[in-house]
Amino acid sequence: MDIRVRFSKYGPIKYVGHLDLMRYFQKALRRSNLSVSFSKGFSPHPIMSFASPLGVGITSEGEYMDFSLDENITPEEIKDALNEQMADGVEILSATERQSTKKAMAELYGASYMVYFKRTDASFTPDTAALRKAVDDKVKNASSLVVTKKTKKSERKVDLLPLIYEMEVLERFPEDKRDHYIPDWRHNGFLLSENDPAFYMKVCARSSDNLKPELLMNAVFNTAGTEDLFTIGIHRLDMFAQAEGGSLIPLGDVS
Amino acid sequence: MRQLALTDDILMQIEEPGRYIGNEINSTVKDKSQVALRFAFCFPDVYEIGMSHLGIQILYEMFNRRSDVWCERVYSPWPDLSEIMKERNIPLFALESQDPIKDFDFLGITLQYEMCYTNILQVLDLSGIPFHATERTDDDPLVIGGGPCAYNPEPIAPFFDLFYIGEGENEYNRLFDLYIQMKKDGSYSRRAFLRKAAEIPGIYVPEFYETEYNTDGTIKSFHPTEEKIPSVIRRQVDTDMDDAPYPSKPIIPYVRATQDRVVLEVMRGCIRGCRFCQAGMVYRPCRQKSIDVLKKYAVEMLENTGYDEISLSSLSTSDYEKLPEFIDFLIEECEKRKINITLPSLRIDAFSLDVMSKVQDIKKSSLTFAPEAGSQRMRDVINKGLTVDDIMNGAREAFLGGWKKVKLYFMLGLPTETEEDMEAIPDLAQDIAHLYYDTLPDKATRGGRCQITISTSFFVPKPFTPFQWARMYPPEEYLRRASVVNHRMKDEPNHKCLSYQWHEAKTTVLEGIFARGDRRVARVIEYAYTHGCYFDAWNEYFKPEVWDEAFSTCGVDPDFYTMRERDISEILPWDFIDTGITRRFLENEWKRAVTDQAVTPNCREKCSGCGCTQFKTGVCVR
Repeated sequence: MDIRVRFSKYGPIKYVGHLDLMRYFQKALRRSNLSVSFSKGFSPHPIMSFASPLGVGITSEGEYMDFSLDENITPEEIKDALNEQMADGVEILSATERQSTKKAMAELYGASYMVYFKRTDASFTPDTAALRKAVDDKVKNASSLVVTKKTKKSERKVDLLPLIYEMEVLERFPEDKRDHYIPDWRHNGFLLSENDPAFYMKVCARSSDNLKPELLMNAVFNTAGTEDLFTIGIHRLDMFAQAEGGSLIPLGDVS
Repeated sequence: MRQLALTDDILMQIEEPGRYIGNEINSTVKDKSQVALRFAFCFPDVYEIGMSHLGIQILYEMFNRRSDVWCERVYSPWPDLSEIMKERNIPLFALESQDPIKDFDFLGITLQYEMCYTNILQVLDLSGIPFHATERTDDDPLVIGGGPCAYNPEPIAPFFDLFYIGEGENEYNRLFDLYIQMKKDGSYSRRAFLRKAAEIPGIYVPEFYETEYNTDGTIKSFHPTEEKIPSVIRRQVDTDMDDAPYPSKPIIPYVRATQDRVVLEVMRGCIRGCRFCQAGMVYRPCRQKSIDVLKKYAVEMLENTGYDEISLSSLSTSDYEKLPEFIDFLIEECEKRKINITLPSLRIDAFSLDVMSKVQDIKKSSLTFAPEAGSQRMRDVINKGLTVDDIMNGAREAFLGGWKKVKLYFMLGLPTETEEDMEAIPDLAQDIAHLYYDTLPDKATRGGRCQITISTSFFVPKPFTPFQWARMYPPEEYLRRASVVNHRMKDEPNHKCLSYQWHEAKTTVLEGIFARGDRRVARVIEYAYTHGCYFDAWNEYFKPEVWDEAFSTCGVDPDFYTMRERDISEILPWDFIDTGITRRFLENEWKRAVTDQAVTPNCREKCSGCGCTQFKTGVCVR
């Protein structure tokens, strides 16, 4: 049976990179005693694939991993068996059986994030009204948002606007999420003040047009060169596929 | 969720922040208010190297079995982080609790190779512990050293409160009991504790000893300065390998460690008696674990870790007597579980080739021979019981089995080495290449050229080996010898199949100074560290010019330690340690090597009377 699990990543383990996280899951799958399907060849390993790598330092409550089992058990049992093997900071939030064998990476269309300021300078006070105005002017009431993308070979101009599905300035980072996924928000190098605004965004995440939250923040607020005041913190909320008719549905709801 | 010692802004700007977060699967977390003794175990090198070390995992397991002790780990922060910590005054911390090392009762440092000595000072420096043991107070952790380099602790003696000589399984519990008792009854002071600890077998407290020197710089005497302090420290030997603690739930790092697999120690010690090999001497007698114990650990460790590979560890795995039976078991278990098997330290013969063909992808893998010397004469001098027939038969079988890549390991600069011995190295490689074409004459079926890689290191004499009296050579001479090999190789008929790599010469000489140095070398190490040397084992951080400056500023002549052949009558800095191997045996072996060029049989063929029968265990009691 083909399985998709949704999991979270937060706390100290957010500093573990994607390749190491894959190796972590390979071992966890072996320890779980689930009869995971293996690759063939001289070094067989559990076949698994991830929707999208998560950068070092980024937290998430919407990561997805696909794998297959050679036995039939309930998604709830799979979730429990894996959770028994998880380290602090990685939780299996749900497991679903899938009919389609299409991989999460191929289905991935969009992603939603909560973005915030990590203050490097404690005296930095963001002006929420001005930030709202920037979003209105450059995203909501604009006809294009052109940035220059530099690659190793060339520079090209890209209009980001079609890649932005939603963008809002929130009064503050939702407290329940903040306290759970960023438990160190109050200290530890980044001061996320009680009253700081946060940014909600749902953007394109197709492999060809993946819009990174940092790039969008810079395009809207011109954050480049502000490292003395703050850097940008990112929390991934969910990842989406495109359903028939064009609407976005969470990868975990695609069967 | 626990708080990290490093702030987010730091973790986001350094390489591999995962090295510093702890929290790995199977690591031990205790309530610090419920333990009486906190031990920080340090491997003074980067995390990926330190986490690959089996010894720490064994003692971590053993210490944490005690409910009154919490053992944690600490490694050398990589230079990127190290600089930030110094600049911002961030104290070095242990991974599990993220608490400062300064708050611990003990800082244990394992000494696996000499080139990590400056990193010991880095760890002390970042921890805020004075470099010199005698300058520490009752509030500082006790700094204890152990491991192979503790067999000559003198070059680093001033930096340690105490050393543990031998295998930790024996006396650590007694040391901990003493500490906890003295803390409880209020009698603890650093000095009072060290005074009593010095009476525990295997414990060496450097500050209770002094050295007098002759005018020529050699040692006149070495003796305790206080009553009841032993003048000889006896190596501790674990006599029951089956009952010894072993980590059946080893810690699984997130960051990929060098040794990214289950490691199963099948035996300790070696029967062979190669005259250059310190491990082969100081781990005597050879002690095998029983096959049932090994089977049990293999399965438990695979289940508890989820590793996809298992490796057997020992000095010479082919000498494990029930190897065929154990390999059969492993192959069956591992096939079922889809686990890879790797078998380092195997002698290349029909049996091992058969095994390897079952567990490896022949097309991708290479075979490793370690003849150590090119000529039979030289191999007899070092007592490497390997003949040219053994090598050629192994190679022939390997080529017939489908292997094409062969790696050959040698040493240059061995005692009595001549030009002919050097040239015999590429000649042997040539013979093997030639054998390939002889064995597989049909160009169509053999499928390409063979690849023979020659690799040489420069020989460094080590304490408690028969070569402990030998001289070394200047870096230019080592490089000259490497170029003799290189030139000869380029003239070989099959040179297109051969390639050659050699080791750094400057680090070799420094390693030699540390290996056989005395207490006067310590100030050179301190000077070098305070002038920017650390991670000397890493070429990109090795600063030979600073070391040159350190020796000359400190008035220490490096040649005194390397360029002299020692006289048998000279008092050596490590003579106060009794490893159980008699001085007479080592002297006799030295003479057999350089004068008689005679081979000494291995421990199973015939006891050579090294003295280790006194431990009444392993190969000595058959």
